[in-house]
Amino acid sequence: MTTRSWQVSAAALATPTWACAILLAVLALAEGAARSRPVRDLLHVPSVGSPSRRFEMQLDGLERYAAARGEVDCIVLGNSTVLMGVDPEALARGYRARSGGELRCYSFGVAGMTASAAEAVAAILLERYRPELLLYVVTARDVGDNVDGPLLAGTPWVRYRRGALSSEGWLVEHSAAFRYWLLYRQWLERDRWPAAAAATGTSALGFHASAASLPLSPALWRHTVQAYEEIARQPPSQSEARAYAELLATARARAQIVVVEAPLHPRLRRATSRLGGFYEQAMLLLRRESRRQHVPFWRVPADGVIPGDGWLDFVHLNRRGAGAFSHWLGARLGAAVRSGRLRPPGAARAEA
Amino acid sequence: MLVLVLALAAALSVYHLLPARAQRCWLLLLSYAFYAALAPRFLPVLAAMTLATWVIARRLADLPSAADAATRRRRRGWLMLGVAIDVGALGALRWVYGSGAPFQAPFAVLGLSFYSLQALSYLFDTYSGALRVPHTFADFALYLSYFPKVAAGPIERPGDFLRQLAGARVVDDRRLARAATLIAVGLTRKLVIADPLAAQLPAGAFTAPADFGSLVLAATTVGWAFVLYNDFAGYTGIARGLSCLFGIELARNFAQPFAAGSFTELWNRWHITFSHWLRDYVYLPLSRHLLRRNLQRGNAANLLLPPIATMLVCGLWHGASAHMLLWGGLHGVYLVLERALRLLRPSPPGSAAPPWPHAAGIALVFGLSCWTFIALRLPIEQAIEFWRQLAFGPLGALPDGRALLFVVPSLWLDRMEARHGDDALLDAWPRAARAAALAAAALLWFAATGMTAPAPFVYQGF
Repeated sequence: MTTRSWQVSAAALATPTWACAILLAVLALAEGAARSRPVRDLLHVPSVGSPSRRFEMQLDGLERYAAARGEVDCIVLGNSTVLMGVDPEALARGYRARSGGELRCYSFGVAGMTASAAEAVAAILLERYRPELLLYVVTARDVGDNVDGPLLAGTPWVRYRRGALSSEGWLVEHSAAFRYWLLYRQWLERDRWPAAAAATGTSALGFHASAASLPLSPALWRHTVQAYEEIARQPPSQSEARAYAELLATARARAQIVVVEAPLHPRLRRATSRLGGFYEQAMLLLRRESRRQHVPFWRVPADGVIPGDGWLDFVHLNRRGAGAFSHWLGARLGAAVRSGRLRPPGAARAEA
Repeated sequence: MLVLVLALAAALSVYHLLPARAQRCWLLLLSYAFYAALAPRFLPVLAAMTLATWVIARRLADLPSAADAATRRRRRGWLMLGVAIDVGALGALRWVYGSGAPFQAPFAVLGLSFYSLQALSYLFDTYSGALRVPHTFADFALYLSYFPKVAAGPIERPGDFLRQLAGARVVDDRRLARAATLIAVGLTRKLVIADPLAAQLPAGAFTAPADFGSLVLAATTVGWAFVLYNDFAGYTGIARGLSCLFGIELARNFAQPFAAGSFTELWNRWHITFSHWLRDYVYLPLSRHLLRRNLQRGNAANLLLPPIATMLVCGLWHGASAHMLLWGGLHGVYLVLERALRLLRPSPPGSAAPPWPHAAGIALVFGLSCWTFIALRLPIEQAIEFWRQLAFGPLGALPDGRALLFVVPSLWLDRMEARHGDDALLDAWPRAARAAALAAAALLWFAATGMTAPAPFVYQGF
């Protein structure tokens, strides 16, 4: 006769069953708390598990903006030149002055974002918020090779939003508690936590105004040129160029899109022609692709738009410069609407 | 992770449906499949060592131990051949695949350092006649390859293991609770303490100690000791718990090592199965041999040689490199000094140690063993640089206090294990509290790892 080797009674399973019940209750409580407004107001901006805290702050800001205003007419997408250089209020003023209409824009600038990251982000933003206009502000760096930028396209949640199923992507999408957990686990990472816990520093419209104006010193000049020389050593990246083309195609299918070349300090613009022609080469590539897809490509006039004291450094604008650039951009949009080259953003919704 | 859990559940279900004899075959099959899944190209090494050790052990068993001198010589010859094969394979493959820095680059031949010692145990015990449990080749193959312990131990003794294979392997409520406790504590040590604490240690402290103040280096040294301990103790707990589910008990490997008041005690609390292996197969035979030559209490050779030789073997087992020998040698010296001190100032039998010297002893042993761990971790030149900076560098900034978040639970678990036993940690608690503790542990496992795979176990590198 053989003895059964498994002689566990049903009573032995009581503790694990209770543990599961407690676990589920705790998780449900945490989820409820994370979704409630009073708790959310006490906490930092949640994370979606991306390598860029600014991206997460911008997502949260846009979500709050859309929740408060109901809809977003236009999203301005780009890297730090958008973050610090596009003030949606000034843009709306410029637009109103030229077209007489209203324009509700959110400035979605993420430092270091290249074309491949922008393409992934644009697809999500266009699907989620359905703006009628996407303004993509580009720099030559966006299609540079070996450019150091946040790899947003590889973030599980971004991939999930674009159709690649994953448990982490699903949890980020559906669980507020999980998003807060992704943030607060960074408390243990001494290098990441200060940035994670920092205030957004942006307005409710995503604009990060800088009152400073760095002395355009020889040291800063050398540093800037050195950074551009690093990029100029490589030809424009094929994969980034492809991502740029995809971004235009995706955006055209869902909204109107205008590409705008970010302002560059006149001295740097002159210098870029000496840096192996990279800047011009990259801009030419971007312009050609835009033309091929019938997407307007606007350049800021070299002089007259950005005041001399409107620069934070050779690449970024301060509050004054941002105001001027944004006003110019809004006016240009208004003119395009008046001339019929663009449909007025928000008009379709107003009619509906 | 989910796949592993499901595979384990399936394996367990089949196991408990089978009759006892078939269960052993099933376990052997599972063990080889597990090894093949982790390190397929080294499966022939495991199989060849199993076969060679078995053949030689059969020859040893067939030759009577109390026979004439020629037979005894033949027996010794077979034993030497077996030892040469097992030690030679370990040495040669370590030479080919080992990096000399197992904490950075794992030894490719998974588990060889562990199953080769068990193969040697089998030979020694067969030779000495200590192994009297009837068993088959399949049982022996299972003894070497049993999947919960094949990668990093515990280093089981053949008698204990084979006796359990021969008997009934029942899993009842009590054993299930023990298994759950061991696995839960093991996972907590690994996922909630060791891995996050390792991430807290400053990245460059070991490679560029000159960039850090001595306070941070001291904290890193202590932190790393806790990482190593919780990682390895965590692994052992999981292995023992899993084995319990199959009705097989594996030996305990750790017993609050940081509470050791002497180095002798430390080695009875740290990696117990290995240190007992060294004690039984290196230290005691050597000591007996020396005592046969000179029975005096103050026999200098017996005072010096067995501890030093044993700890050098211990260092060599960790890696055939100078810094491992230095680490082992230093521990040998500590043991010698301790024994010498006891000879000079023997404590009266039955007298209880006063609390303060005992506490000082704990602090000294802990501090010195942490300090010596640097030689285990770093090549000699880097270890010396680290020690120099630790001793003579500027104090620098205070270390990050967040590491304490992991050290305190480790000490708490140690205290609980000391009070209740490592497999009955929560038995005294009411059911609701036990369930809450289990739920909290599960939440912490998830919170600590999230969606990322846990880091490999440190001792998989050996």
